[in-house]
Amino acid sequence: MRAHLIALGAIVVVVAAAVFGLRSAVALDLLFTLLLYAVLGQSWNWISGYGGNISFGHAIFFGCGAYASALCVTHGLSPWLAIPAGALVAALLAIVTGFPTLALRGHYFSIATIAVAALVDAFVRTTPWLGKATGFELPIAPGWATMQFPQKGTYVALALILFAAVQLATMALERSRMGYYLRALRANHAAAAAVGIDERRVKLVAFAWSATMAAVAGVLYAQYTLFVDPPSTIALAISIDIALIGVVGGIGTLWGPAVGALVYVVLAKAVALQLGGAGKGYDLVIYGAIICLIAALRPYGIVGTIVDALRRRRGAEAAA
Amino acid sequence: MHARRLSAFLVAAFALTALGGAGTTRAADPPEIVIGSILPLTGPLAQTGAGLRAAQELARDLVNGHVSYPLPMVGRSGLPHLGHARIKLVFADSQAKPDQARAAAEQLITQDHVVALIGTYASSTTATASQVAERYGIPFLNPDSTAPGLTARGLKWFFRATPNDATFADNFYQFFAELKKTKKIDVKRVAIVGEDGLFGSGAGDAEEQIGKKLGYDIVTRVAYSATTTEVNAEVQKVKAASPDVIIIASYLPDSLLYMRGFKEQGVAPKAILAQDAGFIDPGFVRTLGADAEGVFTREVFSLSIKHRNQSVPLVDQLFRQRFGDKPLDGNTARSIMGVLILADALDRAGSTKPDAIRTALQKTNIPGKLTLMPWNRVHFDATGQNDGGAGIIEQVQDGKYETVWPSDVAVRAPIWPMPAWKR
Repeated sequence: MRAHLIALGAIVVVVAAAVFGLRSAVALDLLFTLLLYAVLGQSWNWISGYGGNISFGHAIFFGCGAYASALCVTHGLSPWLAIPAGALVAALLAIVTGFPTLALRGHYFSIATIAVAALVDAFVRTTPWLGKATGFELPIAPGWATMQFPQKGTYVALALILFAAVQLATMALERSRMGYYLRALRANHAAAAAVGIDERRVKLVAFAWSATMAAVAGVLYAQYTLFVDPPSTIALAISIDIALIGVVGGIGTLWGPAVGALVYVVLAKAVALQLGGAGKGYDLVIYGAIICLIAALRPYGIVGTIVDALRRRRGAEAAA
Repeated sequence: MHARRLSAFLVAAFALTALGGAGTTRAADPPEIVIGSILPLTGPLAQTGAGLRAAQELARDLVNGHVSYPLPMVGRSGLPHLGHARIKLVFADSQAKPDQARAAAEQLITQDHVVALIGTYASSTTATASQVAERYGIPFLNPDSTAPGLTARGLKWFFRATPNDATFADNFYQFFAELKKTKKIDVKRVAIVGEDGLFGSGAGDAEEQIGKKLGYDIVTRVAYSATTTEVNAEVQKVKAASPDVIIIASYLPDSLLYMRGFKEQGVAPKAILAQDAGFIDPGFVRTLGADAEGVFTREVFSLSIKHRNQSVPLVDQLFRQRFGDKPLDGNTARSIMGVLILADALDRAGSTKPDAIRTALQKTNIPGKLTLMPWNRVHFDATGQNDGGAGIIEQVQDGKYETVWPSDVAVRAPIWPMPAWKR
């Protein structure tokens, strides 16, 4: 616990120093993307990592926040209102869709999340007040009330606060009764139910919190890019990216999503830079192959593998 | 050992003189003007992006070179009013993602210190990249994004050379008006079909609005998902409305579904008019054969424009040499024009100050005959939209796409009504 807090503190100090020290818009942009993906990965990790219900539709919660932001701005309201509004809508959507689906086992839940996401996508694409397929472009109006900042560092600072809050919440989850319930359900739902754990209630609460975190990230994203449309917020591709970050980093671990985001951002950027210019889409093929390899050889992800190695070493020491 | 040391010394000495030589020639070179180009170089649109990049590089070399063509700023050895400065393009990747396009624009402006931006093909990436340009006060020239809303944002630094989807919709109605005048053909009942993405819904909205305004009877409007595998209900809806013409926006697989559906259910309008995409894919005629006969489609470019500007086949040949023998098309031709329009404004500005370039862009007035396009002229209105833009209409005749409108680039007369379905 203390080690985790120190690690988080160190990250906050380093990133905060970077915000003040870095002048490069490109580096700050990378940092913002990294923190945003880490938050999304952690949000996914709550229900899919700790809870064991693999979601392939998490982008719709991200979309709730992004669209709440767009709607607030286009109706003359402050996007700060979109944080509670988007979070509330996302939590409700999670409860309504989770109620019938969270009891589904294994890949049936994943299929259900894909179906729900496809429905939401189709709904948004055909609903005029949600901007249909065109989406929203938010007018430029810098200021705290409009949550638009001429300095990129401010966005990075906000993302850092969100990241720290989400990490602290996850630390609390790991030590809380609900965290133990979730992991017990993941390990053996029948045994957990036999000792009186209310599966539906526990998972609905975890799903709702998970959706809330993704929605807040969505608000921040919308205010950062000032452009919200279905392919960039709620599409299946975004959901898969979020799940990949969770899986690559290490499912059900505190630092897995952050490590996954780091690998994802660096790998995607590096592969695109090395092989992008060819114009044949090799970059996507190679990136996909690397992800497949990690998933096949290291199914517990990077953090899972490290934790495993540490445990084995400790075990060996104890035996000796 | 001694000999090796000597040879190393010689190599070093040679390298030093070579470097010195390079330094002196560089000093004598005319200055360079750096333009930033944002394109989808990786990701799902990478292949298109590679073509656009080759096109822009060709345009750059035409401007910097001394071989003259009837095109603006070509063959004058750079920009005469800027001491024959050569233009240089720096490319950045949008990955076809709005947030990446934004980052790319930021990088080009803050790190590469470009004097202007050009790009980005997809409308969603143009939306975010142009906002960054607006914030920094850098002129942004868009050769090829057609979502009508892009020029309705009140941006001061955004200029769009291509006609947008509203213009293309308008072209269909102009075509109808011309048919009425010259051939006494009356078109009243219009059915609009389109996939429900950005492309189809945007085109459909424009077709519906303009059609209603001109007094046409929009008898039905069908929106469907491009990933569908059957369209029977949609085809029935169209049939029940008994339209004179069907205007349709589809990608290739769904365009084939509709064409087969129309045939099977005996939907027989006087004409089917398409918004390019699936209907100009090489697979369209190849798959449908005789059933594709008579289909009209709008296009942004055709090699038949050589009847207006003789440089079209020459530029086409130069492009083929550079890009694996692929012919010049609507996207690559517009990208070439984009660089030329920007070069023209830079030269008239006689300065690399953003304000001067912007003022010059506002005063752009290039006659249509000096472009590779079917446009009337290049002139930007108050919103930054080129108000001289126009498209062309082609028709499948004997298995080939033949230009049938407008008359000055047409190579065949339109066949109206389209032939009956062959059993």
